[in-house]
Amino acid sequence: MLTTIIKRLLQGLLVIVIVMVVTFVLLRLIPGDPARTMAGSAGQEVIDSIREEMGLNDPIPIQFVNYIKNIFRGDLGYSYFNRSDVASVIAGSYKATLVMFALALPSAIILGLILGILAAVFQNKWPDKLISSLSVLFQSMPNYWVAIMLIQIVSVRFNLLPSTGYSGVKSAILPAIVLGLPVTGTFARNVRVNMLGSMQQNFAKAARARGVPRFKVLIGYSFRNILVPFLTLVGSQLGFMVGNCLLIENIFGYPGIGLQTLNAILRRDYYLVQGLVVMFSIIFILINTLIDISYLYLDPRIRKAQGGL
Amino acid sequence: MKRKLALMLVLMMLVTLFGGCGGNEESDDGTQASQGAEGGGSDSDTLVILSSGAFQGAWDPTGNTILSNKHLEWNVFDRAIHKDADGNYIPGVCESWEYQEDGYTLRLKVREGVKFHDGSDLTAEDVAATVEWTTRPESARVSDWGCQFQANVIDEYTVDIWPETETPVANLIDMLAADAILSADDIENGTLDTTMNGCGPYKFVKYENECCYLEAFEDYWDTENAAKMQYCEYRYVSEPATRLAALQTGEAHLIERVDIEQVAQIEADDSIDYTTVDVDEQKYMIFKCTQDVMQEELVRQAISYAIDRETIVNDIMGGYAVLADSYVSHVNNMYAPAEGMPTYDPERAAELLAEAGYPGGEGLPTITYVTSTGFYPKTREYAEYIVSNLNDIGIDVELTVMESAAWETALYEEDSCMMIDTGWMNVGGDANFILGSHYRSPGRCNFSSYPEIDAVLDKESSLTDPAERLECIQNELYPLLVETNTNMPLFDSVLIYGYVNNLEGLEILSTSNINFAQLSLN
Repeated sequence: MLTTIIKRLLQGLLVIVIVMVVTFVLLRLIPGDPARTMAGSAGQEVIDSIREEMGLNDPIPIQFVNYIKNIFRGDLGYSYFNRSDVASVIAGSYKATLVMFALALPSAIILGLILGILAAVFQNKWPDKLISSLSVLFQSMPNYWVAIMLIQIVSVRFNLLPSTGYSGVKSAILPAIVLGLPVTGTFARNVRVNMLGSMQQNFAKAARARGVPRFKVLIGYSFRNILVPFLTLVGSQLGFMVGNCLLIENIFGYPGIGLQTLNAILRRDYYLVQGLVVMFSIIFILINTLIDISYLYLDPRIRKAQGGL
Repeated sequence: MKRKLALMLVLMMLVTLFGGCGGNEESDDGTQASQGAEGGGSDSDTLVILSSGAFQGAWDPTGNTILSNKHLEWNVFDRAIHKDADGNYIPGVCESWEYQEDGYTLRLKVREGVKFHDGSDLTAEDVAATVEWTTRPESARVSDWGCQFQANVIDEYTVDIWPETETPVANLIDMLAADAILSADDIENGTLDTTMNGCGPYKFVKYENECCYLEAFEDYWDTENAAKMQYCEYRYVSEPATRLAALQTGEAHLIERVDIEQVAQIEADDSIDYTTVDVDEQKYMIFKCTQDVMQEELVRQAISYAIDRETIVNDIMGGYAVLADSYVSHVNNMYAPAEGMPTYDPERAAELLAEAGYPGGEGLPTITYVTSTGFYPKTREYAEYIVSNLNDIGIDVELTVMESAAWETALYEEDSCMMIDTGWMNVGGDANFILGSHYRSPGRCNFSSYPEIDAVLDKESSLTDPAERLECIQNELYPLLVETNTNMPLFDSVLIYGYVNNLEGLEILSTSNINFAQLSLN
């Protein structure tokens, strides 16, 4: 297991380096000048002086070397638009996003599992049809539309929750719903299909034949069998959620990492974008490594192949 | 052993995931402080205003021309001279001003007892340092002032300022009524970018997560016009629908740039209302005058005659715009109709195109046209309509729609395209902010170069008598601008603001500045 973790982390390190290089180069290749964004219609002398201050007049390879040197010193760079170092900007906005994810992801997982299992148990009956239709609906409704509808109904019509900003957990509820809905749909559909397959497996039939109660077979045998592919799906859906959180935080004016990322990209706040992308990469790698490790606990075949725990 | 090591690694990863971002208490407070600066306020004493534009966290007022920063500066800093509702100049932090015998040196008497937010006293040193700092070559504001200025402190509360050109500057009083008075210490110590230390009615507390937190300044010199609300949050929310929802729920009290389509929604809600303001902002079609066929005046004129601006104003902008008939907005101090400015006439456009040697567009290269999205309202819509207008007379156009940062770079690049549309809000209030920027050689975005226009600009900017200056601009400058047609004004902007019904004291200036201090909740 230790070898697996170390191998995964080393692979992750390589991915982070690649992400850093690609982000750094791409940002400087796309049109747009942070100095111009910062100074507006100011004359060229002002622009040149800002570029000099930002170190943008150096050749790109020199800029990259300086960036890497600073990273090794623990310095992610400086956000000129926030007049603060990148780490502080991230520290100031991660909490709101974390709260949103903490609401959205577990809810989506629990709801997706329940709905998926119910749909499988009642295959081709009305609960299955209802859940399958709802899942498709959740997946196909545009985020923007759902967000506006929720704001209009929940915030404007009934004044139950705030529509914008962040003033605690209650501000995160609506964005979390918009973030979690499509993922819930995906989870439910996936669980349904895998559960149906698992329930048809010989081990489940044999257990029933041995007189094991139906519920125990369902949860203890069939459900356990789908956990590995389900966890893989959770890992991949996290990427989808992070991408969506940029849009959702923007719609709600929700001051989290997503909004920070979007604004940083639009302003060409190079160092902040780089810092955020690296942070996202690290989170992805850690989550996927944790998921890989969990396979060892959940699937004895993988555990055996890896040489046990 | 291996198992323990593995578990430790897993634990470390979990810690990194959930705690590694390392927030501190201070920033946590900030993100929660949706009500009240520094968490000190409550619903009833906090004014929430939603900005449609992002802030740039470099706070030196001379470092940018970003509109949202200017709105903020208007409330945090004070100005040497104020303007009343009728546009008359009245004393600000300077009690009086008087031109000296040479006709270009202005003597300012600084008001005693004015304090900066850091507690220091305003003196003539501050005014002198401000004028020199604001007009230095690297300043974003120098082009509005026209040239560099020098200052001489006569005594603690008296200062002389004069242009280095040693000629009268027509808009000097306007500039003193528009630009922020800074602290000499901040200029000397290089701390202007890190925070805002003004002597205005609101003091700047912090900027966090796209929100500027302000608090009433207790020692504001003008007690009658001191801030009526204890706290003010000026927050950037990019989505118009979100801004409106926040207004409807009462989370915000005033919102900027309401979409045309949202007016009906506001009208249907009894708790909120809207107001329209004719602002000093024009939308232009800018021709890159050094690029290919754009060097030809006849081609530029043909394009201008081909654009159906009436339909843009009435249908696309829904009437929330005014058809431009001059080179500055109809609310500008130097507004006068420009005789002969092109109007929609496709036949005339076709004739001009033929006269230029491109009958029916034959032989004309594809015109590259750039517009923005997500910056000004309806740009994509009217850009597509303009393309169809030009296609009608045989001009082939390649339209590129860019997001704001890429578009802004294209705007100031000489060879990014052949034409580009933009807007220009006159934050300074004087016509030279527009005329000097666009038409003095080389034009800021069009890169035009006309010595005869420069000569007239030199002349008008030295005329201190407003009537004489207006006459010069109308009779000498505008005919040249019509003839050379380097920019085609499309329309003058009308902005829509939404507000809660219990908001009092709302007055929006033509520069789009709002005095937050006068706002209160009934």
